[in-house]
Amino acid sequence: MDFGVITFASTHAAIRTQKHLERHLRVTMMPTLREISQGCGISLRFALSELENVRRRMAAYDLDPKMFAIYRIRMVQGKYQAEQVDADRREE
Amino acid sequence: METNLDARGKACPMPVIMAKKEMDAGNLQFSITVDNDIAVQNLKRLADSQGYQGSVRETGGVYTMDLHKKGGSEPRLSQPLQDQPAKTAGQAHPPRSWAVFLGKDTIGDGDQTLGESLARMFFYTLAQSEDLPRWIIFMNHGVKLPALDDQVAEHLETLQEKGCRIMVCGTCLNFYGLQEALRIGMISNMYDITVCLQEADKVITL
Repeated sequence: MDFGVITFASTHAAIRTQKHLERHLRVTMMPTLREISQGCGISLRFALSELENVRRRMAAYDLDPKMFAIYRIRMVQGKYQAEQVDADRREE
Repeated sequence: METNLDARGKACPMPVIMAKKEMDAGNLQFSITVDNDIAVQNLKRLADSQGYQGSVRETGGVYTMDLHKKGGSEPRLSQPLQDQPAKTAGQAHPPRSWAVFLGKDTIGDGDQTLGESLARMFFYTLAQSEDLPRWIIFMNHGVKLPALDDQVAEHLETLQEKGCRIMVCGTCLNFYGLQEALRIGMISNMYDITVCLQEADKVITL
């Protein structure tokens, strides 16, 4: 089952972002996958159908783009594969 | 003559204590009258665990439960707990005999928000794991997780579908006024919870 995750460079950013995003869409807190090595252990999982929504909201959100990354996660032969999605785009 | 215990107006866990005393005294057949559904559920679980069969009649909010000992069977404290099937088709790893116990709504002590986040992530990870506990027990502040936390409740639902038993302290729900808010799990009592802890090969307290 494919899904999207947002990873963060700090725990505080992850918790703050969850509070923001959960007002608009469904996100689930999860430990950052081993396949994605980031400084902070908290990620937010979302349905890929929300990817564009997440990108838009994160671009408009008051958080330095260097502090987070968005990934598309695929399960390939029983293992997760993470592909980073461009998160730098800003809302027009 | 058959004993009829009147436990109307008695608060939890008195009806269970009264019935247990009767069973311990060797009474193989008796009835007990209570006035709330939670007491009925607790009595049913007690009956199962002690090898009794029960049937309930309800008249105007008053429940009478007739209990009789199943023929020749010895009490099997773990019966209803161990016989819980792994409900998910093809579930390769049914729950094993261990328990997770949460007496608070966080993992560890320290920052509340961080502790809540860790609890969410713990249940997320556990729900995806192949080594599942047979029991997940919530007491004191811990009952807030299956009652108020959407994410934890969702993970618990997955765990329950895989055969874990989610046990939530009824006394604690009552104390915090959360009985109506409970999203997932079985309202339980100190008797059932103590039996689970005794039966478990290991108990992990978070």
